[in-house]
Amino acid sequence: MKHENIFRKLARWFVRSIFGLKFEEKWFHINSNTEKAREITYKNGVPDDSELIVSPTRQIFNRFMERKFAVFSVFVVVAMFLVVFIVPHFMYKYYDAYTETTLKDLPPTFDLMSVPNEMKDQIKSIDSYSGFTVGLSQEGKVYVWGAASFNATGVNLKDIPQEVRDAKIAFVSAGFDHIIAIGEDGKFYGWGNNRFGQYDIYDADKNLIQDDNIANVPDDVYYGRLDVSQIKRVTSGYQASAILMKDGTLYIWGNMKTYDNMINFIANSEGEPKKGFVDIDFTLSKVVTIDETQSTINTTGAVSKRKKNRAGSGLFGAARTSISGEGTDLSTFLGERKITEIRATQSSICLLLDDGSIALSGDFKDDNVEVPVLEDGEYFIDIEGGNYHYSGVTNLGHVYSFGGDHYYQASAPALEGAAKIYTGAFQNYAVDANGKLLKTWGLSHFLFGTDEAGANIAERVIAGGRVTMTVGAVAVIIEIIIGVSIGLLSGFLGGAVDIFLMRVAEVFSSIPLYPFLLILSSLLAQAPISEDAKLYMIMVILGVLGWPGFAYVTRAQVLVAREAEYVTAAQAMGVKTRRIAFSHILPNIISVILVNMTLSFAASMQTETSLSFLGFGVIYPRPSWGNMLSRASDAVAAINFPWQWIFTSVILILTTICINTIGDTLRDVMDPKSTNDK
Amino acid sequence: MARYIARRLLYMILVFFLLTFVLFSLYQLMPANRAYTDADAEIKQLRGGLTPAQQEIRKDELYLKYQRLYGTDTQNVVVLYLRWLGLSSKYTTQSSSQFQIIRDNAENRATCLKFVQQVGGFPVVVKRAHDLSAYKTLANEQELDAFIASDEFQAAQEELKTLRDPNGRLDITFILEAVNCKRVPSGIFEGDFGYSYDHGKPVVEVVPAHMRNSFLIGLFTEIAVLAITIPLGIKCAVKKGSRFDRFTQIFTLIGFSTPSFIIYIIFIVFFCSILGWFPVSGMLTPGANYTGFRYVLDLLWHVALPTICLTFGSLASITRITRASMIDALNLDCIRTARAKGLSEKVVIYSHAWRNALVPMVAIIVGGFFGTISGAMILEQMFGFKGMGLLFLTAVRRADYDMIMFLEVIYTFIGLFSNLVIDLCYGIVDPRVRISK
Repeated sequence: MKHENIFRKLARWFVRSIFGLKFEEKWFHINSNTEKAREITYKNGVPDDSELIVSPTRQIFNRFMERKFAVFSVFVVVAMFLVVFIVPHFMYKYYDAYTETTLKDLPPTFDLMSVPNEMKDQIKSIDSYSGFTVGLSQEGKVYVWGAASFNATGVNLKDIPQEVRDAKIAFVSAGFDHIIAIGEDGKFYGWGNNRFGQYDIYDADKNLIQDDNIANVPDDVYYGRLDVSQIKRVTSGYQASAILMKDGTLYIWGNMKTYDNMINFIANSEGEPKKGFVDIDFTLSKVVTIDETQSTINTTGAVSKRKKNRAGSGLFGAARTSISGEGTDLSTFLGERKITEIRATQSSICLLLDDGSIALSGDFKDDNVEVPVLEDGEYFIDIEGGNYHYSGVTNLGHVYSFGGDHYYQASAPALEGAAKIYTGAFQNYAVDANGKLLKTWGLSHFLFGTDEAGANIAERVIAGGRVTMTVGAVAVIIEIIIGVSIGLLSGFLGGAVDIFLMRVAEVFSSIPLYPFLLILSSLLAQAPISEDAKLYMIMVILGVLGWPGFAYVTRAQVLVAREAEYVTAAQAMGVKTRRIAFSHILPNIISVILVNMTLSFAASMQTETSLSFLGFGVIYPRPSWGNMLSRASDAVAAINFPWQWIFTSVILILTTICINTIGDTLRDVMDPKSTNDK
Repeated sequence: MARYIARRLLYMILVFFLLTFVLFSLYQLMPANRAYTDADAEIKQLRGGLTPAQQEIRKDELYLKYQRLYGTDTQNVVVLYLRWLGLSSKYTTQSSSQFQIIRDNAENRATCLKFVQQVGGFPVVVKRAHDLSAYKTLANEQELDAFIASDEFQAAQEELKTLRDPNGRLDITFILEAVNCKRVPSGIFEGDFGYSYDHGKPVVEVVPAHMRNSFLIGLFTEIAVLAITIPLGIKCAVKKGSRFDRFTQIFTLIGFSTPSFIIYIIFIVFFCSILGWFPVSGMLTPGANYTGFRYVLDLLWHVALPTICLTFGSLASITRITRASMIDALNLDCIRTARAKGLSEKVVIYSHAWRNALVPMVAIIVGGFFGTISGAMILEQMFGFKGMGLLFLTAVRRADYDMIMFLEVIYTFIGLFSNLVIDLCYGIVDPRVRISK
């Protein structure tokens, strides 16, 4: 027989679990123990049955291993444990309270960063603000990729209107839920959500909102009167868009509620657009521009004199060269240099100065990648901004990224020959001089989609699994420790102790479980202790309320085992009572305890899940399989966003089924009366 | 048998008190102080006419008055518990003319004398404010003066100045009280179950309707479940190992492992959104006031889906238990004897094996019936169904104190009573138990 090491054993069990005993025997050239047991060998003319005698544990193990589904379940449960306890250490960017409103409620998508093949060699421009990206090829065709369908409003941006498909487009821009496109003949197209004036003019026939907060599309834009060759930049924000002409004219429109200073930039009451701008971009709540006469950042729209330092207004007063550096007042910082470009993320701006250096202003989150140090003679020729990061391409053809790195969008590879760079909301596309795509980096896929806060469901499922399984395991361990000890004591000592302990167990078992748990957790919620401590308290409470089951079972078994002869023999030999209880009786009872342990583990997980579902156990932001399913209780959300509860449910059900199968199979194989049926 | 029942009842009452005491003292840990918030609310209404100093005085009086009303003028948990039960007494009226706070200011003598005149003259009792224990009886004016000037009083006020705590502790040291101030027990045993803030009604008026709803659903469900699972379990046990049995095993395994709310949501999505047969939530169609037969039909239409869901949720576990106990019964030696005797299979199964299998099933069946009264919380929350479970959930979420305690009492009582009934049913079903008692 081949040398049987652990790997071969695992391989054998795996094959047996999926394919069954027959294939295992065929492939590994062995006979199972039962086969062996049926062969009769002779020794000295008499049947030699010494190998039929196996210890009870070995027999249970053998019979367990014969059942395909049980072995499979063991694999699944072990794999689940490994995954939920080991993988979180590799989720470097994960934290419980992550929210991202531009990525909320996305279905599982894998094409967030995949440029369509038709476009890969002839990229003209790429733009995105939320989960979908719009791209324009040099032939003038528009492509949309990513999570472009909004279940709640019924908008699907991948449905590009026929007229857009037929026309040759010169500029595209994507907002949160709309896309605008300018044809080469100046014609204006828009599709997506138009309820807030993203691309449509109010008309009594159409079902649009007329509101003081909506700035309508300027007539020049809407009726296609613009000269396309004079367009400098087309950009979009949350539900707003802007077109900047080379002569400094600015057309801007959309939902003004989100941009508190947009009113300073829209056309005046005669419909004349404001002039004199060099560049424009949108942050989360502000429109930021560069005024060509003064080259100071004009966040309020008021024209300011160079002498009077109005650049210190609000958020973007101080400029600095690095993310965590000290800021100096802008005009001092600039000196004689001029600002050529301004790009913005949600909460910060980056200025590209005419000598190729950059200036930053605004707020950056804690875990940002710093501004890279350029080589000698290298300077930035272009900067683009995503939702939290910036990427720049230099004169030497290198690309650098800095800023927010949650989806590794700020980890730029070392490239040569890059001529332009385009950023999506969380992605980067490096393009060479001919428009050919060199490389992409950033957010590329969501395995299970995102939930209503924008967090990655796959990561939360794994982190939640850790919480749920820990709670279940610790609760069961506490139950066993208390219940088995009390059962042993009560069964072995008997008499008054027995009666008293059983009364105590009865009291504990007549406590109504859910009401008590609810009250205790609502009390805990107000207690001034840390969140971790509250979680441990919940585990302890679950354990303390569930031990009577184990006590009854253990006591029953001890009462039976007490009458056995080996106990009498041990007592006659003078073995101490405690030693008899723990070393002689307990090993014979342990099989039943094991069965109950697995079933109780599944039950504890179920209780914790239900408790968290109701909002009482594990509380947001800490994930748990139960509270991730609480969104499912809303029927509308359950239908519109099925991925938010289906994946978690399937994993939870699978784990529970496997644990229950193990318990059931153990119980079946331990029963000496049951026949060998699967 | 009668002695057994009597013993069990006694034990039940003991456990009932113990459990309710534990729950009550747990609930005292809540930092909410109703008397303080009520006094605060009332003082805010009166704010207009009083100077800050007068407000302070009035607030202290109101605080004490509400404490006496709710019976929370002591910190002793046992006394509070007894008061809640109705075995210890608390003050009946809210009237603040029942007591007078002795303050350490220039007018204290005058106000005390005015109070004494109000209550009809001396004698009056001086009580310590923090636990209303009697300190001294004053028989006339001189004793009052002596008391106010006494070192004891001064020392107490001095100590109070260092301890003044604005967050709800009673900052008064002594009060004057009329001798014949009445205290009467009023609590659960007197029929006063409390007042629900959430619903604006006394607790006893809110609960019966919800209990009726839960019982309605529960009864239908229980009957349907038993009608399905008992034949199914028996058939699976008899035909153990067959394809039917294996099929059912898989189904029950999945059903047993799935959390109930997932089953509900699948049913809701399937029946309400895709098929559109049933309404999602509520008990009656809002706005339409049907009467008579149409009312009953409407009610049934709304109640149908929760009943179906609850039935499906409970099928799996009960089928498993039925099957397991039936298998154990069929393995008994007496069944082999019965078959050997030549009895027909039907007699063997239903009359012999099922009788033996019934013993562990009794707990499930009886427990199920009693459990319907307590209501299925998750189901009722998802369907918006006004039953006991939802009542309890909203009460806990909004910290509706009296309602929670009352529902706790009901749940504990149901649990203990069902244990007693189960034990009695064991006696009815299993003659061996009867004889040994």
